[in-house]
Amino acid sequence: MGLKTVEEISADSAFSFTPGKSKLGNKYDWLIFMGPAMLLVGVFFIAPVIIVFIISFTDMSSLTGFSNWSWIGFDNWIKIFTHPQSSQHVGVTVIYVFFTLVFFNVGLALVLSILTTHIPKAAGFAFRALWLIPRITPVVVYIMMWRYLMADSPYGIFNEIFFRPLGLDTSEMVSAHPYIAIILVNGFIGASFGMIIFTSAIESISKDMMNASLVDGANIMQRIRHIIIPQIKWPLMFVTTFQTLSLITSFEQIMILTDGAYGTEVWSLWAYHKGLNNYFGQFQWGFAMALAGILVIISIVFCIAYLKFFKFSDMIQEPKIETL
Amino acid sequence: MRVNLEKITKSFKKVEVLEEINLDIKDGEFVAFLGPSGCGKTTTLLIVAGIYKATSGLIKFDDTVVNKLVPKDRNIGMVFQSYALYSHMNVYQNLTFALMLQKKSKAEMDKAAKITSEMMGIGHLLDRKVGMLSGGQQQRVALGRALIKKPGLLLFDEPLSNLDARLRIHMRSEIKKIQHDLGTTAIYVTHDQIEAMSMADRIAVMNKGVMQAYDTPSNIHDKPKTLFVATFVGNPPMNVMDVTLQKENGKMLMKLAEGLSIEVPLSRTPKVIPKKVKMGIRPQDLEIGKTGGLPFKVYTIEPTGRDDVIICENNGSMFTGLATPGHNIKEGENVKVSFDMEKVQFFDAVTEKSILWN
Repeated sequence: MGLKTVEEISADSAFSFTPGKSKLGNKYDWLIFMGPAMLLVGVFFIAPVIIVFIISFTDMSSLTGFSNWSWIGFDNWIKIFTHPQSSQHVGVTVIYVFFTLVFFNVGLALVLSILTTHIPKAAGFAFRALWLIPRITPVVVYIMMWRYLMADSPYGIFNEIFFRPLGLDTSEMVSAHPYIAIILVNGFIGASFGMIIFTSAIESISKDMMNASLVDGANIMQRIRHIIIPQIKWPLMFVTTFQTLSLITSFEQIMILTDGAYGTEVWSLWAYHKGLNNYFGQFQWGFAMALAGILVIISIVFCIAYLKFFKFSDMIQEPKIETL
Repeated sequence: MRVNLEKITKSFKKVEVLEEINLDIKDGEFVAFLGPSGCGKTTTLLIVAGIYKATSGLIKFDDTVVNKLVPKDRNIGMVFQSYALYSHMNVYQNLTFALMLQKKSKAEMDKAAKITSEMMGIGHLLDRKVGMLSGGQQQRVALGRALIKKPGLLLFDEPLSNLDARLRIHMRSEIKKIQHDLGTTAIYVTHDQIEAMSMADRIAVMNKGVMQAYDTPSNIHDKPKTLFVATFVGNPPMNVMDVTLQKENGKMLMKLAEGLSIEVPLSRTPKVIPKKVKMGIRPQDLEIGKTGGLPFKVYTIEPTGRDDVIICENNGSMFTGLATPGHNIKEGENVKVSFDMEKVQFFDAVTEKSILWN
């Protein structure tokens, strides 16, 4: 038996990199590696979105059942734009998402992460661990706690401990300040996600760079503004985008706290009520899907806008080439 | 700017990392802190910079105690091993960051950036993001950023360690030239003895938080105060062996082995002789030949171009010598090693201090 040439050996190998020479070494190789993941993404992420849009063009509801529905074109979509409650739901959703995002999920998260990275390590760790407790508490328990915090005198803790001793008027705070209530309740949970991401990002800024900025004459505030925030731009973008999208579609805390009363019916809660929890027993699946479809469109618009706003393409650096 | 460190100590929790460091640096002097990693040289530098606080002791700049001053009020410029450039800024913004914080006008910043960048040979790169620069270019930006403030004291924390060998030699002379031209006092931390020897006016050799010696490069090399200094400085390192010193008939004799004694010249005769003595001799000060001296077997020969490094062995102890290429020594051969007795060093084997220079 003679020795094989290099070409013969590589042609034998299943992982040959010579295109077209072996069974697997061709331009469709990537399908084998990407295929399973693409299938999962397709079935669980893409297909539901398509189904949402398909059903939104039907009159499917508990009246028609799954068999007697018919195509009604854009009727559900037109209904959204002509619905008398639409503008109110848009308003509360915008307020809820904007203020929770800016003041808590990004704002408070940033403040917490900066504070806890500027105090001794153990204290910072303990403080951050405390902020994670609401995340591991069942949401019903967490909301019950807030209800008692904000209940009217003589039960409510805020009213009994702060307002009454100071001679201020007491009230049932959830109904008196419903927007503040839903923002606080969501924000105190939501901040911990960004806090964890930002903390690890701040801790990974090189010690030398932090020291260099001090030597260059920055005080703590200037260092935060000129070094820390620009250095964590990528996680800032990620958290802002991710939290915008999850806030737009989140409703469980609001549902348990107010169930949409006092004008707190955000868009996703409205979709849930119409599609899965209809007071009149008519589950309006078609209409609910159109409501959900709006959320999908808005989410995609936000994604693109954020990528543009944070100059995503600038964050990808060109390779370094070693020259004198 | 003059710098004085008086009895500086530093402990992290209960671990003492610096033991009473005393140091005086003259105006315009270039001082190197030399030592192996973990010896406390960077800690000392960061204390001078004001990033760490000294546990005790005084730091004085021109007779002013600066212990309580934050880094920005110390009038210092610093260059880091990792360059520590602000990766989200371009070269211009990196250079002028300190001036921007001082609220200098755009015109002043432009002028300073132009002068500094041209001095550093990076004038054409001002618009580039620092991530797009090569290692050498980044190092120049880092140096420019330290110089642009016209600091009274320049601090270098192993600034050349991340560069390739050729560039390192080039930047070495460049840094020295700039420091000399500007007349700025400088402290330069390094673990590379060649850097320290070639750049510094004086070298502070440190080990395990203790300053072993503080002297000119030639004194550090020729008159090492401790065994550590003797073996750490010099390449290849100094050979060390146990010997006994005896006075006989008014002559000092160094006994190497049974029946082998060499007379110690007057210039190398210690005043007091401890019980146990270690003799040190640099590779260039011993001769490897066929006759006369201590018997060794050649273990290996390492050609370096200019010299061949001859490593010999005798009963498990290794000795390093140098020979000019073209010698006829072969591996495995039995040789005799003799010493230039005018160049030997003697140390107390217990305290490891020199008995010649203390």
